[in-house]
Amino acid sequence: MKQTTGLQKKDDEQALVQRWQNGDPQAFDELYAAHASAIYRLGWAMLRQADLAEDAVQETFLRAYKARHRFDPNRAAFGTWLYQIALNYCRSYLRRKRLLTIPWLSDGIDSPPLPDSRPGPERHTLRREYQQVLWQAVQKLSETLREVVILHYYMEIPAVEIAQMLDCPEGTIYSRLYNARRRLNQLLTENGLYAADLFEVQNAH
Amino acid sequence: MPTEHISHQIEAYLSGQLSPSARHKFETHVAACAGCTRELAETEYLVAQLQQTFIKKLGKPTPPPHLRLQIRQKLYEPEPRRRWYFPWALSGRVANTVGTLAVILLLGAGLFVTIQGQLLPSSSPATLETAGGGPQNSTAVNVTATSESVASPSAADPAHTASAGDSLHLNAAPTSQPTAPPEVVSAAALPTTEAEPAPSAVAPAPVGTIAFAAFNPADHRRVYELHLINADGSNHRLFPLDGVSEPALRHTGDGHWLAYRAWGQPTSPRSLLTSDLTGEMPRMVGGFWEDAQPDWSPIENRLVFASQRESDRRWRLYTSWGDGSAERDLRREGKSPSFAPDGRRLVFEGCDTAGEVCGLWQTTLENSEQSAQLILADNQAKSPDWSPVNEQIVYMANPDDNWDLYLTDSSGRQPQRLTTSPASEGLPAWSPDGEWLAFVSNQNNRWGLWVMHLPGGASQKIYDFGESEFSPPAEAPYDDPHWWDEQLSWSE
Repeated sequence: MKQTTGLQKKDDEQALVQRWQNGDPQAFDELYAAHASAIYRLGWAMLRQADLAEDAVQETFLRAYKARHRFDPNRAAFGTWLYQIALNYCRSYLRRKRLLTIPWLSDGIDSPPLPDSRPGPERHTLRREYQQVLWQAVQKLSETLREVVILHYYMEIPAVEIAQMLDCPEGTIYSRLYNARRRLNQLLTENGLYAADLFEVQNAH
Repeated sequence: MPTEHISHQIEAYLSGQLSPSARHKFETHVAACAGCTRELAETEYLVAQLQQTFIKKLGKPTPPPHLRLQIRQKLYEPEPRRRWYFPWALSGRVANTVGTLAVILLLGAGLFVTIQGQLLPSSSPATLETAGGGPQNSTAVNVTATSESVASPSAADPAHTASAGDSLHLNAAPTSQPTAPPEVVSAAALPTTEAEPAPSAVAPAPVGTIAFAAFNPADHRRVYELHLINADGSNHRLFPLDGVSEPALRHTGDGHWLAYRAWGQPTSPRSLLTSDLTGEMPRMVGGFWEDAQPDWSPIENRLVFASQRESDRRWRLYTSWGDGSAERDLRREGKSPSFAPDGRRLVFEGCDTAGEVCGLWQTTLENSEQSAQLILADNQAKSPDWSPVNEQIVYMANPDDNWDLYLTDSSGRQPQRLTTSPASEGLPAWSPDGEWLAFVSNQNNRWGLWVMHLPGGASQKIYDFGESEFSPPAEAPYDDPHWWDEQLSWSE
């Protein structure tokens, strides 16, 4: 039962994509409604500026439309294909503008971690600081690792699909996630935050 | 180390992506290895923190609503294949550039001619004349108004464009002016009302052409049909394009031009379109199938229309040139817009921002976002039409569950009831001289098109809809379609 509805859904999307390939603006509307937000978030996470994220959405749909006859439903889901285009756009943007690290370093949202002087349970303070440091640690990841972390943990895209987007084996994604975790733990430790301690604190309460 | 060999599997394990046998092996191993249990728990903690941090720092933003429209326009307007259909795809900017280029080339040529002056005196005057900016028939009122979109293509129109390169379709593409010459050739094949005799001063008879639409429910049709009829009831004919309704008719020195809503059946796109009366080579306006209820500006080649295109499906007002270019969101909720004679003010059906005071409102093209004035509070008032000659506004309302026509003015003067029959009357449209009204009525349970001479108040039926109706099957995008969402249009 579940499977048939899943297949049905896939068929529906295939028909929709076909209409879109044939130039039906209505089909574009539906595909846009289904995927624009995710692409926007990807652009937002990668480029960290609202207007750049908008550009990413626009460029993705324009490029996808230009290349629409190259989309092969047997190789990847339509969404995956779109995200791949979006990711490539973001990557090339970052490269082109030599902003590989700048938007992450000059991140207006993040002031340097302030000691939390407010009264409150230690657990709260600790976790707050932990997240702040974790966030900064994410910025310090290499582009390759950061990308996978964003796609998997922020976008919640399964590793299989990320593998399709990046055109590499699924195992590679897991090993990148593993490497990212090790690097993050290392950076946290450098800041005096041991996951183990926090874990204890959390469990103690 | 015992941990090492499961470490790199943790992510796959947490994603539930290990094969059953690998999973079993993994779990068995973890159960027997304290370090592994700890690492697994720590990873889960890190992942949870990571996800929370992402949400806190990045949120889950969504793209702004206008983006879809923007992309859609980019996608479906400059399609090379459609350029032939929608020649305005050549943007004003490009046209301007081409115009400038042509002028520069001409200046160059002029210079050349001047240098060669004594040798070739005859070629110079002709060249300079074309450089003057293509003064077509400047008698038409609308030519003056649409400065950019009209002037630039026409400047590029004459023969000198050939020198600017043959990849440009400027010559073939009529300008954004719907009355451009190329289509007139085909339009001439259709009967028009231009040859109509002048009205006799003695017995007043309505003149001009009325456009209206009705759904033909016959089994072999089942489409909207757009009708054109002379205001005196003669020369009834069908517009060649099926599946279109909500017409707005405009008359210029070069003939009639129609804006209408196309429902995507049988072959037209779902959008507002404009074309001449042959229905050939329509231009797309808006591009959303929720776009509706167009009205022409009386002073220029401009449309105002209403649409439910935004995702909240609330009616909003938009304006663009008659070819769909330079579209602008008027940032005002409302429907059924109608231009005042000055072409700047609009009457529309709407509510205040709190949604409490509904009725007829007026605003201007320039300040639609900043202000709107209430004309008349009546949440049943619909389908207003502003007189083409003065401040009077006609509309329909049903205070006693009986739709009738009412007359007020832009200051909201005490409404005057114009029809009294127990039948439904609605969709009023002014005649171009402001002396007559066209409307529909279902007297005797048959829909018909009527005209009323306002000074006398006498009405006459000029067309019987027969089996056609106003309540089509559910075609409208979001609400059940109502007959009062249709519209009539009366033009010279």
